[in-house]
Amino acid sequence: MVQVDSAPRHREPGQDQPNGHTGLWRCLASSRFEPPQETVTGTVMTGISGFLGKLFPPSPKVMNLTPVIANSLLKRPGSDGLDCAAPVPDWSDAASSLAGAVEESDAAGGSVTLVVGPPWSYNADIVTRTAALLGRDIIESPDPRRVLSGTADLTISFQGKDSGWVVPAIERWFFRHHLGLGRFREFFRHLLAGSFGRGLVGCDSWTWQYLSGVLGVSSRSPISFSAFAAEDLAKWFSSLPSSSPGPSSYSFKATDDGHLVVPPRELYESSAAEAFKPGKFLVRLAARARGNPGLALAMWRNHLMNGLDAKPADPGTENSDQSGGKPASAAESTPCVEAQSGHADQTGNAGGTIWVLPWNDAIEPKVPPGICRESLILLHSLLVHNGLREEHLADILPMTAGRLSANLGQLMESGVVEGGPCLLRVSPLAYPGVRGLLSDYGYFVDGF
Amino acid sequence: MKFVRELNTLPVARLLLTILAGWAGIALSQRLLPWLAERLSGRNRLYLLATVPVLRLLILIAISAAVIAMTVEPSVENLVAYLGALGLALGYGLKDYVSSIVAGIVTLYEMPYGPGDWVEIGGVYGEVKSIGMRTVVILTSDDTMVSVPHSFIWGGPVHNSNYGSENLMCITEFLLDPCHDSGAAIRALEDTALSSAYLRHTMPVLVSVEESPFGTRYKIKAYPVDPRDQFKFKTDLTVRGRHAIAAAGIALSRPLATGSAGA
Repeated sequence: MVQVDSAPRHREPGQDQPNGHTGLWRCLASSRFEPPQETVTGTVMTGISGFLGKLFPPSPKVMNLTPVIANSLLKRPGSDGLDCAAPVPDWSDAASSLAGAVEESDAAGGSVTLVVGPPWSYNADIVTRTAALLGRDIIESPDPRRVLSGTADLTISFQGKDSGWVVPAIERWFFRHHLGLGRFREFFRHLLAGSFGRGLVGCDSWTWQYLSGVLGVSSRSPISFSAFAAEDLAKWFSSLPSSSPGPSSYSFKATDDGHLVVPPRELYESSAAEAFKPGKFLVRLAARARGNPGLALAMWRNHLMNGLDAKPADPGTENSDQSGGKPASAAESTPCVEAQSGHADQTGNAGGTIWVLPWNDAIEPKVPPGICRESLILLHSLLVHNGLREEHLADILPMTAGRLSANLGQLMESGVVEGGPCLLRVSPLAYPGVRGLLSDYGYFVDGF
Repeated sequence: MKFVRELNTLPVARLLLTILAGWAGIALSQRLLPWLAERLSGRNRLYLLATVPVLRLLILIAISAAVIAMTVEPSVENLVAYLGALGLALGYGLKDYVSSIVAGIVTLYEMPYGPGDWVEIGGVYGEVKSIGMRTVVILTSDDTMVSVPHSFIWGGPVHNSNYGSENLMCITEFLLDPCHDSGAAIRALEDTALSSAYLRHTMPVLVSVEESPFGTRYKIKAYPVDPRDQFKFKTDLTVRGRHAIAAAGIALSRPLATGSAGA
């Protein structure tokens, strides 16, 4: 008999799971989630700058979302370039780990597994992919208009699902509205109690905080993925290009000192992996993203820059991890174009070098100074629902259409809220600041 | 016996500078600290506002002591004479004024109200914006600044809704027709409160019921995130509460349903 792994066959739900393909995706009980911490210096500087920002708010400026030239030597890559150097993965590794956790939970006698994920963790995508691995049907969310009016039959879709079912995002099944709230509360209790058979439910962390903290819904042991520390992010970022159509590996170097921020993927396949220690940038990135890899990826992409020089750098300056040197001025290129032209750095890395802006040099949307409390309510509602359609805002929010339009317009202009009429969400780059602001003002926040 | 120092020995310049410094210190603290407090959130804002009257009192005491030391010839007889004259003037001419000032000092010790509190004094309800030596300035819900003498605390109760904290209970009433399902009404009104965007979720939500000659009186008792949003919170609960009651098939009490004045 071949044993797949050395882990115990029967594991209590919520305990750490065996490593997946890369060992990065580990499921654990949500109550044990701990975000990475920033350095003491970084925490102090963040606190001071935040306090000064409240006293002397900077003039509001509109975030320019089109690529800009930071200086004459660097250019922000387009979406194609970013999708080569730092693509959004297909989450197959995460889904494998989650599928293992679900199977172990089922073996231990559990019927419904609830997996909670913070905003921009692609929790619904991971759960959807897990459904395919488990061979279970996905239950589509009901008509939002019927949910809002409290007339939706929430149970009908579960009939006949004997082989199990999956709900990727339960937050799409409810609104924080007085009509339908009672019906959803009862439905959700029955769902988690296993009244509809074996299932897997994905839930946004803010929604879960509202359902459990305000409505009093409880679950036996919701699970989440463990936080990504700086080392995990380095390994993950180095592996991402391998899933893109472009080169499978890049070197990521800082623009200010030329130090290696994320090494090429090949390093992790060699004995030199242990020697690489992530620097302050990745430590701060992990802390700022609170261990959320999807959020960290968005911030990471925001810091990537192309060198305008398509030629390989001087051998004497780019061969060492401690080397400096900025790219000389020359023709413009993108990562994928570089690969096609055959340029490589001295490590033999076909993808070449991608430059990483220092932490304070990248543009991030900030909450407008002097924001009114109505805008805070709007932001909080968007997070509780993990995004809302524009047509539902007036039903959910206690403000007139004119005030709603004005507040929303201000937030979208500043880049804090993004999306279109079909879904408005707090942008990933603004999310950490928004979360902190809401907590300061006394609004409940998620546990991530 | 000289009571006051000789004019040519009186440090006039230092005296004026001391008074000016005291005035500047009080003016600065009354403007700077509230400005700073408005840029903070939650508990920090209330803590900072509470320091304003205390700081003013300390400055006044310090300036008064300095002025007396500079002007009065230092001797026991002079001090006794000074205090005696002061007492006579205060007793006859400034009785009410002194009463308010003394009450103001007592409020600093007993703290029946402080800046940021929502209080009702003498029939006036609003947020305490500043505490002066003689009066407390309250901003009402219709944007009116009312100065209430501190001496009111001698004669009547002071109703403080939040007492230095962020927790201010709001009560929203509904008068329903007596023929209805109470369970359904309670559930509808509870969900109304639980689904409010203004709700402070760390505090409990309670729906109480009592019978009255005009109908069954329901009260939602809940707390907003920010006390300054209490009126918007009550409006939100009232509007959506009526909708929820109607959706549950429950009618309002007839006096309210027909628009005539209720209890």
